[in-house]
This record gives sequence, C-alpha cells and structure tokens, in this order.
Amino acid sequence: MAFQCTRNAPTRKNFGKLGCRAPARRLATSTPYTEMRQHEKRVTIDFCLKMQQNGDPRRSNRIVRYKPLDTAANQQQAVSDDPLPEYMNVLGMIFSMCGLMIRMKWCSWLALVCSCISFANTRTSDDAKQIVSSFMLSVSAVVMSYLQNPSPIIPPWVTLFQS
Amino acid sequence: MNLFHTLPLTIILAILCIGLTRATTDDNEFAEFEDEFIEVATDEPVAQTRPPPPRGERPPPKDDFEDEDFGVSDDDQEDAEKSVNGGDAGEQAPVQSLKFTDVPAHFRSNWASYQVEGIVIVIILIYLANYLIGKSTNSSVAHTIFEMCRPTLEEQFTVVGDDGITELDRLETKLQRDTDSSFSAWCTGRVNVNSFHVQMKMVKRQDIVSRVMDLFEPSYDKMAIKISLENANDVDPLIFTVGEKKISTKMFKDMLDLNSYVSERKQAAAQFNLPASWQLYSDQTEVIFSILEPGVVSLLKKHEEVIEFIHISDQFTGQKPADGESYTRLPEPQRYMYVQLNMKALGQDEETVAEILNLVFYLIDKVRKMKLSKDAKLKAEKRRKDFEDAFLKQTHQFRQEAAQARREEKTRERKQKLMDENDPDRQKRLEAKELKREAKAKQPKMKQMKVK
Repeated sequence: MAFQCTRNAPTRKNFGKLGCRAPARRLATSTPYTEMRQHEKRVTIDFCLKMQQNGDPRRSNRIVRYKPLDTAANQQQAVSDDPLPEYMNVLGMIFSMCGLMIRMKWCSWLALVCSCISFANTRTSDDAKQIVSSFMLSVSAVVMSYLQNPSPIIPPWVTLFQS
Repeated sequence: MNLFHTLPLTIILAILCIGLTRATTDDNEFAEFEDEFIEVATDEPVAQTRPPPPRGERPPPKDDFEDEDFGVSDDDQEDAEKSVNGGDAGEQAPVQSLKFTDVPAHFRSNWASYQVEGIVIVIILIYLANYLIGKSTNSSVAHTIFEMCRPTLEEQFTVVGDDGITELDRLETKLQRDTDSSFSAWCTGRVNVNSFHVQMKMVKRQDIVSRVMDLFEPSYDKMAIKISLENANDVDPLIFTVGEKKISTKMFKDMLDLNSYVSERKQAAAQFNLPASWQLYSDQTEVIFSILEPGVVSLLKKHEEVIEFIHISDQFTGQKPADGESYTRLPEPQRYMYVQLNMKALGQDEETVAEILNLVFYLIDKVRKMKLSKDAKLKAEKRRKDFEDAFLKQTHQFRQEAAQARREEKTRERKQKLMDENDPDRQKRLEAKELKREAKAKQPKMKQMKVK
C-alpha cells in the first residue's frame, strides 16, 4: 500500500527532515488512504444500489433454447477441451488386444485400469455403449489370460531380490 | 535303414494331420488319423525292441488335443532315435524317469503368489472409492455455488437451467451435469442477451490420475460465464479485456479478435488505478473510459481475487487457428461477453456472488447503451474493414487454387458424361459443345470492337 510504516515514511515528526511541508492537522486523524478507502466504499455502495435499480429485465419472447452437446461441432469442442477419455479408450483397447493376443497379463490389467479412468472422465453426452464395451473387452482380456494360464504375474521385485 | 529315414517324415505328416483336424474334424475323423498313427508306430521294429514304460510314469494318451500334442510327438521322435541307437549298439538304454515341468497349482490353492494381481485390484478399488468421493464432492460444491447464484439469475432471466429437451412449463431450475467435474446452467429470456451459459469447471476430484497431474500443474475450480449478446444495428463496436495478467496474456495470444484488433493499455490501467496484477486490453481508449466507470473499477478492485478476466467483444470468432493452419473464410463474428471467476473465492459469501453477477448484468446493459464518438466509431469500423481486406488478400491464393480445383472437377465430370453417352448423335453434340467451350477458354480475354 501507499503508506507503509517504514523508517522514512512521512510522519508529522520527520516531515521537516524529509524536505516537505507538514500536513494539516486534520490529516493526522484521517489519512488520505483511509479517506480514499471510505470514498471507494461509498462509490461501491452507490454503484451497487444503482445496479439494482433497473426494472424487470426478463423477457419471455427472447428465449433461446439450449442446444444439447450432441451436435458435431459441440462434440468436437468438448473433445478438444478434454481429450483424456478418448485417449484412455484407445489405450484400453490396445492393452486389451495385447492381453488377448500376446497373452500378456499385465496388459490386461492395464486395460482394466484404463477403462476405469475412461469411465471416470466420461461425458454425459458420450455413448454409454462405448464404456460398456471397453469394460467388457478389458475384463474378457483378464479372464481369458488367466483361463489359458493361471500362473501369477512374476513381480519385478522377485527378480530384483534374486539378483 | 529305410524305415529309419522315413520315420521323421511320417511323424511330421501325422502332426500336420492332427493340426489340420483340430479345428474342423469330429471324433470319427480323428479316430481314423489316430489309427493310422498307431499303425505307423506299431509297424516299426524299433518300437518293439523298446521296453514297455513303467506304469504311472507315462501319461495316458490324450484324447483332447491340447497344446502338448507337439511336445509328445517330439518326445516320441527322441525316444525312437534313442532306441534305434541303442538297437545298433545292441544294448538297452536305461529307463529314465520322466521330468514333470513346474505347472503352477490352481490359483485357488496359492493365493499368496498372486501379489501383483492383488496390488492391481487394490489400486482399482482405491480408484473407485476416490471416484465416488470426488464425484459427490464436486457435485456438492457446484450445487452450493449454483444455489448462491440462483436468486440473482431468477431475477434476471425467464428461464434458468434449460436442458433443451423438457418443455418450458415443466422445466425445473437445476444444474446440468456435463461430466463428473463439469456442470452447467443455461439461462435465457432477458433483454440484451440471447443466452447466458454458466459453466463450472472443477478440479477432477473423481480421477486420481488427474489429481496426481495436478501436483505438477495445479488447477482450481473455475466458473466460466459465456454470454451471447443481442445483435442490433445501433450497437457501437468494442473489444475490451481486463483481468489477471497471466490469464489475460494467454487470452490475448489465443483469441483471434484480441490478437487482431487489440493492444495493451498500460497507461489507462495506471490511470484507473487497477490492481497491479491486472492487465487491460482494448481496441480504443474511448471504450475503456466508457466502460470503466468509478463504480465498476471499485467493484473490480473489491473482487480482485474472484474475477479472473472479463472479455467483451463484437468480433468474437473463438480461438485463433493453430500454427500452420488458417481459415479459408473468416468465421462469422458474434457479440460475446466472456467472464471467468475463481470459484473458491466466489463461494465465500452470497453477497460476493450477487455483486459480481450484478456487475456482469450492468456491463451487459452498459455495452448495449454505450455510444462512442463519431471519430472513434469510424476508426473502429475502418480497422475492422482493414482486417477483413488483409485477410482476403492473404487467402486470395488459397481461394484461387480452390476455384481452379473446382473448375477442373467440373471439366472432368463433363468429359466423363461425354464418354458414357451411348447415343452417337448426342455424343457428337456434346463433343462439339465441349470443343467450343475449350476454344472460348483459350481465347484471349479482350473486348471486340466492330470496325465500320
């Protein structure tokens, strides 16, 4: 703020030393800053009252209905705003495929996690079928990989301790 | 010896047959091949010399064709080779016990070894628990703030919280959920405003991954208000932005209208005593003086922490195209007002919410009534015209290329039509027409003057 309490701040005592005229006595009780603050407050209150003095602005003949998000442009806008669910969907699909075809179990689990992230970030306008199919694919990847070979994933720390 | 040479070949043939029959054959067909296989095996004299395997050591022959089929036939081959060698030497090979591979026990009997799986399941459970908690937190924060805004919004609009589907008579005032972290309310039916779209973009509390990302790039709850202003002929042109330095600089870089028409007004910002952390942009100084009344400035300063920026424009065309891309046609400009607020600071008390919303409505009306001087208006219009001309000049080449491509496409279509024509008379007529058109195109473009 403009008037901070520093050593060289102009007070009634050191005004002469600082080379400026002593302020009038009335300023000792109300500084320009507090006056300014009070003035600002008055302006704000007056303005708030002024803002509320308008008549009823509602007009029923000016209603423009909301267009839902399923239009292509809006959808594109939504995707560019937050592309995370789309990325997770694709990643989930890739991991599921790896789990099913190359029988990589950790891929199947990652696909399940990706499906969860995709589900948590999904939009209301998105098709629910997509999320359901993503979940089904990842779950089937997990189930199939353990049906074919029920051996557990070897944790990386086992090989670490052995070496 | 002859038999010895043909043995591997027969085994390979047998494997192939088994492989082929796996997918398509029924039990009878399989039995036929199985018989052949046994016959081949029994014909061999070497096989007779081999001692019978002890009971219990050799697994029984498999009826179902599992993956181990190949392994079994390899073993047979090795055994046969060994026995042949042994026969040649005249000695019997010692009986070796079969080695069993380490087949893991069924997962029901050794849960302890499924450590990684356990960890992943725990992670998924934590994720889902956080999802439920985060979702409800976001929802409660958004609804609390919407309830604070609701009285002011209902005073100003005929319809609050339109979903675009329900009939207006049956409409309930409620917040719409776009995602679990984003909520919106569409308000309409007010003088000077087409639509007033309140969007609450919250931190993705429901998603742990986003929360972790937030640690590196912190985000916070924001409320964005997009107001489509009514378009009238007698409204004066203006582009104006005031707001927090970092955000308004980003806006200045991203938005096409700000980038094209506007410059920073440092002097005016100092003159109006705006907060030091704020920046002011406008296309003309006169616009600043007519918008920034003392009352507006005092409210802006009072709610410095809540208001992030206010952007008013008659040339709103959205974001600037990315580098390397450009519009072939200038998008239709709209009159828009865009306000962004910090929800954390906004939700402190109802008075703050009411004051800020009233300020927004005041600015909407102010912009509608605002009258610039004749010079300023002319200057603004000239600037818009110059920009349009510069854009047309810049895209002239693109448009020319597009027109050329269209012309070529048309010519190709005409020629195709000519080729496809069955009637020779009609084809001749079309050909003549085409030739005439080509001659006309080749002719230099100049005026012909009749010489008397």
